[in-house]
Parts: sequence; C-alpha cells; structure tokens
Amino acid sequence: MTARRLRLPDPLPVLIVAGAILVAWQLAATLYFNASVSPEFRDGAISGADPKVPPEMRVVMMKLPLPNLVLAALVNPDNAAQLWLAGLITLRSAVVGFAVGGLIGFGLAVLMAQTPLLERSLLPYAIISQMVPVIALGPIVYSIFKDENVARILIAAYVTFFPVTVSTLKGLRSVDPNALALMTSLAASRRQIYLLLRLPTALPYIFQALKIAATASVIGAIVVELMGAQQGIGVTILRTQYYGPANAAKLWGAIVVASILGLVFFRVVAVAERFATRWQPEFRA
Amino acid sequence: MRFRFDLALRLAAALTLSALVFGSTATAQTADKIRLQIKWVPQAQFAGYFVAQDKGFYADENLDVTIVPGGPDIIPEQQVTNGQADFGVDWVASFLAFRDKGLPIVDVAQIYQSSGLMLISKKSANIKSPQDLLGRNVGVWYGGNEFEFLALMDKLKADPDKDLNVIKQGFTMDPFLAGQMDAASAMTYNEYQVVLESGVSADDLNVIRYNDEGVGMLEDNLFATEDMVANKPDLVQRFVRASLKGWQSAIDDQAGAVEIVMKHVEPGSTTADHQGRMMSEVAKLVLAPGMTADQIGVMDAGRFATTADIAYKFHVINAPADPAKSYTNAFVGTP
Amino acid sequence: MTRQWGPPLAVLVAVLGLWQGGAFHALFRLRDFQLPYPVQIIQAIVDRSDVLWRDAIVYTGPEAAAGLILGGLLGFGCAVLFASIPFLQRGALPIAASFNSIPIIAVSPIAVLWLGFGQPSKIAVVALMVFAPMVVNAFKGLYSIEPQSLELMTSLAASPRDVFWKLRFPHALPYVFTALKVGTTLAMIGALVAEFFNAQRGLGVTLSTNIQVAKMPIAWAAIVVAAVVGLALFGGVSLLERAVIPWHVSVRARGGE
Repeated sequence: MTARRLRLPDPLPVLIVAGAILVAWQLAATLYFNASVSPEFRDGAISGADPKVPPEMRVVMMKLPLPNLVLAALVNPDNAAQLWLAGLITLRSAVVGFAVGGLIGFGLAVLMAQTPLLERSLLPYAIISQMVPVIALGPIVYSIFKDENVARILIAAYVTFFPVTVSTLKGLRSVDPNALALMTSLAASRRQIYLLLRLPTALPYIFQALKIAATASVIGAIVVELMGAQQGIGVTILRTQYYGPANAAKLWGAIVVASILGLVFFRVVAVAERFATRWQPEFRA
Repeated sequence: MRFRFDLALRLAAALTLSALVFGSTATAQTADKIRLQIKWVPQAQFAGYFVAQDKGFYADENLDVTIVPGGPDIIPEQQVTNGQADFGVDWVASFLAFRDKGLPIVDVAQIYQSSGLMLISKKSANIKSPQDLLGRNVGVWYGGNEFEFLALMDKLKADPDKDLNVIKQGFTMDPFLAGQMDAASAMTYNEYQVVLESGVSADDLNVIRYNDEGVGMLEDNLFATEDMVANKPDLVQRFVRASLKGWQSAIDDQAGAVEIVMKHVEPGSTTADHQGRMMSEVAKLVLAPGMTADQIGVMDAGRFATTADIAYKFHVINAPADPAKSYTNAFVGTP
Repeated sequence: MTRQWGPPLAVLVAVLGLWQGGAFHALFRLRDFQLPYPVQIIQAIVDRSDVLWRDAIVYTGPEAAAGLILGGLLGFGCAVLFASIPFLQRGALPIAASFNSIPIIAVSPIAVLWLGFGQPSKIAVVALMVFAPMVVNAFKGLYSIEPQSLELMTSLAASPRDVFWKLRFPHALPYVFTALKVGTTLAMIGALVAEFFNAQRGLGVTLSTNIQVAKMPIAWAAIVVAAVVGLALFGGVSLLERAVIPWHVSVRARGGE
C-alpha cells in the first residue's frame, strides 16, 4: 500500500470562519445595542460608571454583548488568570473525565454488544442514569467515595460516558453481514472477527462519539467545578454572573473560553481519528 | 496578583510537616485540618471566616482551615454529613429541614441574628405594601429561602399558587432589571446593592422587609455534626472561638475585612465598594442593634422559636424542632 | 413481547428489591436523605401524581421534545451546508461542535433574558445542547461516502439532488438516529436543569426546590418521572428508526426489537 501523505487539518479555515462569525456578531450586536440604548447612555451602559443609565439598557450587554468588548476582556492581562489559567485548569479536568468516561462508555458498549439480552437489560439503565442531575447525584457519590478527587472524576465521567456507549454500540452492530459471513467461512476466531471487522466498522461511530464526548467533558469538568472548586472557567462563569450586568463582557469571554476548550479538544480527537482510521473515504481524498 | 490561596495552604502544610519531622519544642503539634463549607461564593457575607483565616486566628488555635466555596449544586448540610466538610453555613430553615429528615447536625453558632431578606420593586410597579403583590409577577428564591415569603402570603391569607404569579428566581438580578418581574427577592447586603449599582436609584425602589412584616427568619448559621460536637468539643470550641473573633474583627475594621475578602473573590467580578457596602449591611445583621459584642453567635431562644414555628407551620419540618437538640450555645457567648 | 421486555423488567425488579431491602444503603453506607427508598419515592409519586405527570407532559416533556426537534433540525441543516462546502467542513464544523461545551449555567440566564421564564427559554437551551451531536454525526453520515458509490452515481448521470437524496441522505440516517438517541437524554436533562434557574413550573422546579430542603422522596419522584419520559422519548426515537431505516444492518440484525 502506498503511503499517502496525510493532510493535517490546518487552523486557517477555523480562524476564517471564526472571523466571519465575529463580523456578523459585531454587526448584529451594534444594531441591537444602538436600537436598545439611547445615545446619551451608550458609554454608560458599557462602562457601568454612569448611575443614570436605566437598568433595562444595561442588561443589553448581557443579552448580546459587543464582540470588541468581549475580545478586549479576553486579552486584558488582568483577566488572564480567571479566563485563560482557569481554562487550562478546566481543560485538565476535562481530559481526565474524558479518558475515564470514554473507557467506561466503550467497555459498557462492548459488554452490551455481546448479546441482545444484555443490551436490553442494561441500556435502559444507561439511559436513566443520564437523567439524574448532579445536585442529586453529588451527595451520593461523595458519600461513597470519600476522596474528593475520585468523586469529581467519576461525576465528570458520568457526564461523558453515554454518547460513547450509544455510538459504539451502533458501530459494533453495523457490521456488514457479508463480511461477517466471509470471515466465519474462513474460520476466523471470535477475537479476529472483533479486531479485524467489528472494531474497524465501529471506529467511525466511536470517533464521532469521542468528538462529542470531548466537548461534553468540558461541561463535565465545569459541573464538577461548581461543587466547590476554587478556580476554573465554571467558577469564573458563576461569579461573574452573580454580581450584575456590568461584567457581561467578562462573562461572555468566559463562555468563549469554554467553547475554545471544546474546540481544541475536538480538533485533537479529529486528528486522532485521521491517524486511526485513515482508510475512511474523507481522509483518502 | 491574586492571592494564591492554594499555594499558601500547601506551604502551610509543608511547614507544618517539616516542623513535625524536625521536631521542636513541646508545644509543636500538627494543626487540625478543618474544612468549612460556606453557602455561596466567597464574599463579605462570610467575612468573619476569611478574616479569621487571614489574620491567623485559626492558626492561633492550631487549625488549618480550608474555606470551600458554595455553588448551585452544593448543599452544605449534605457536605457536612458525608464528611466532605467539618463545618457548614446555611440558613436555619433549610438546616432544620435537614435535621428533621435525620441529618445529625447541630447549630453551634448563630451568626446572623436578623433576616436580611426583602422584596424589592420599582416605584412604577406601585407595590407599596404586601397586599399590592397579589396578581403580580414576583420572584422568589426557592431551595430553602422561600419560607418567609410563604409566611407573608399566609399572613395575607393569600394562595401563592393562585393569587399571584410566582417565579422561581435565579441568582442574578438581570430579569428584574430587564423588567421581567414586578417584584424580586433581594438581600439587603447583596442584590439590593447590585440593583442600586445597576442604575436604579434608592428613591425609585419600594422595599418590603420580611422583618418588618413579622415573618423574618434566622439565616446564616454555623453547624457541625452531632458526632463532632459530642466527641471533639475542644475542636469545635477552637474553631468557633476563632471564627467569632474573625467576625468581631470584621465588624470593627470593615475596611480591613473588605481588603481581605477581595483577595478571595473573583477579581473583576465585584468591586471593593460593593463588598464594602455588603460588609456594612452584614455587620448590622450579625451585631444587631441592641446587642453587645459578646453576644455575637449566640442563638436567641425567642428568635429560634419564631423561625422554628414558621418552619413547622409550612411543613418544612414534620415535627416541631427541639431547641435542646437543634442548637447549642455552649461554644458562644461569655463563658 | 416478554422476550423483549422480560430482561429489563427482571433487572428492574431485582434492582428495586435490593434497593428497598437496603442493599445499596448498607453497601455504600448511605442514608435515606442521600438516597430515598423506592417505597418512599413511589409514595411521593402517588401523592403528587397529578402535579408530577402534568409537569412532565405539559411542561418539561414538551420542552425536551421541542428542543430536540429544533436542535436536530438546525444541526442537520448545518451538516448539509458543511457537507456541500468543503471549506466549511474544516472551518465551521469544529466551531459548531464547540457549542456543546457551553454550560447550562451560562446559557440559561441569557436565554431567559431573551425569551422569558416560560418554556421558550428552556426549549432554546435544549436545542443548543442537542445541536452539536447532531451536526457532528449527521455531517459524518452525509460526507463519508465511498468514492465508488459516488462514481457509480455520476456514471449513471445522477443529478446532485439524486446524489443527495439517494446516496448521502440514506447513508446519514443511521448517524442521525444515533445523534437523536443521544439527544433524548441530553434534552431531558437539559430541560430539567434549565428549570433550576428562573422558571415557573416543571419537573426541574419541583426537583430543585425540594432537594434543597431535604424533601428527597419528592425530589427523586421528579427524577423518576423525568427518567420515564426520557425513556419514552428514547423508545420513540428507536421505533422511528426501525420504521425509517429498516434496511440498516444494525436494525435488521436485531430482528424483532
């Protein structure tokens, strides 16, 4: 097989699209701002310094902030710790939650794929498990696992395992029956069938799940942070919201950072997909 | 640069450990590690604890205290019961509710003596008295903070489900500022100030204080497990003593307290001015008019009874609260 | 029927039996204020059944379902767009996926400011949560076509519309249904949690108000009802899948599902 040079995804298209989104956002936000806030209050509505600005006009920044202000908040060195450092802290938790959640999700799917009986018995519980919010789950997990860090990793994994299970299960079941028949006729062992047929067929589905799990693990990390962490992007989001609309630019900055975390993680998994499944059509172009 | 609390803690732990390892005079002991679960994010509402930590009152009592921030998914009573924290701060009504369901917790100090909860509305909404609330959109904080409101409704002989439109209020005032609520819940020390800072002048607001309506309930307390109170009273005493000292210091030197609190808040999310106003309002609730300093933290039997009665009346608790078991003044007041 | 429903019901009975008997509580040293017993939960469901089911069927359920449909449609639409324009695949797909990383605690208050306290703001939150899985999965299905299949279509002088409807769209459907299934749980939990902040009624309101005052049986009753609705949604999507893509090997292999 001739070696094909893999075209790695370059960041340029994302930056261009992001730029286009920013331009559209700036237009929409400026129109909205000017429509909602009368001229004499415009500076005051942004800076929060003018006490005469009516509150309805101040809330405009919370609803659709001006991107230039959000960008200013993002590059402001004073905010670096709460936005970027916090982002890194959250990313670290997200990676751990992703790894554990991914493994659990994958293992569960393999288990359920063994027999339809297992699938029918266990799948409803996997579904139900996703319906229990963290506020109810937290005290139970903390009570069982006294170690705070273990409890946090498990809660984060809890949020990420389900998409991996559903997609892996789908993939394992999507095996081409003709290929399966061929392998059995060649007296392939169960393990061979798994490694040479089922897993490769499942991989595209699994990678979609991993991409989603990557982005979801950021949420998992944030949810866990909101249970008493001192730092992190979730903590930033909570605290900037709490004190009023004057912090709108920073709050939206934190939202942007959370998205960037998800985006970066997504890309990492996408690159891994390219390496692991280079036989897929779109990577062969 | 923001005070790196986690680094300081590690340093403190390392120093403590080295002191152990290299031996010292007879007075060297390992500091007891304590975790305090506060009800919400760090702010002047919890100033006493931050001051006690920063000024070394806890260290003086040989305590190594971590103050764990609260959040929307944290229930302090659960955290203390499952061992994730040694002490907790919550409002007495929800504290009693959890006690009623079997959580073995005891109120060891009643920090806030008077209710800071109120309903605010813009003058244009014309809500001058509680009666005017009927038929309007009113924001109420649930999850343990709604009982003063329910008691007020009861006083008016009104049905909260039918006679007005109750909205479960979140933790920001934006919907109120945007005009989506006619009246909203606010604390004297925080949300009221946030609203003032957001362009509404005090002259433009009508305020209904639950205290004035006779339905105020006790709020921030300090609690621990029954087990800890019974088996480690010395530890509890040291923590309470240092904490009350912190509160005293916060009230006496409010500017200093604000400076300390500012080290723990999310920089840029709030201002020293806001925390200063918060501190001043909180001081009025901790050291209520007519109290002397040595009474800080003491649970007044009458005020407890009012709170417990309202809780019982609105089925927060199924059995009347037993003062003897619910709280203790053994650790507070003049010995 | 028994062959299909037997196993999960048997497991359910076993789990409930163990739970009521206190196995989990003993094993994990739990108390009833951390995890109530089934009998307590069932009692609470019975006591409040009219309110709970009304909340489920009139408020929270429809929020989840409407959000699922809205987010699914938007996601699919974007996937079609990205699959048609290669530049967007590399540029816009990661950004669309990153919407999945925005927590409800940030989205919900903003949605309320725009859409008020009622159902629309919750539907918006759910739609955002469901959007990303759909975009990622649907795109994969639409785009990842074997070149031989494409060549075959062109050699038969198929129009772009034919290529889409006869090749790409069917190929995408298994992926779309996977996304919808994942989306049902996201939608339920999204609707539930969105109701924690600034809402008027719904299962989430019942849950959060009761759990913070130690009324665990009622809080868990709300969770159970939400889970039932979520299962129903998931089941509905599965049935739809069998109806729409009976030819797909994963659906065929199960036979009488």
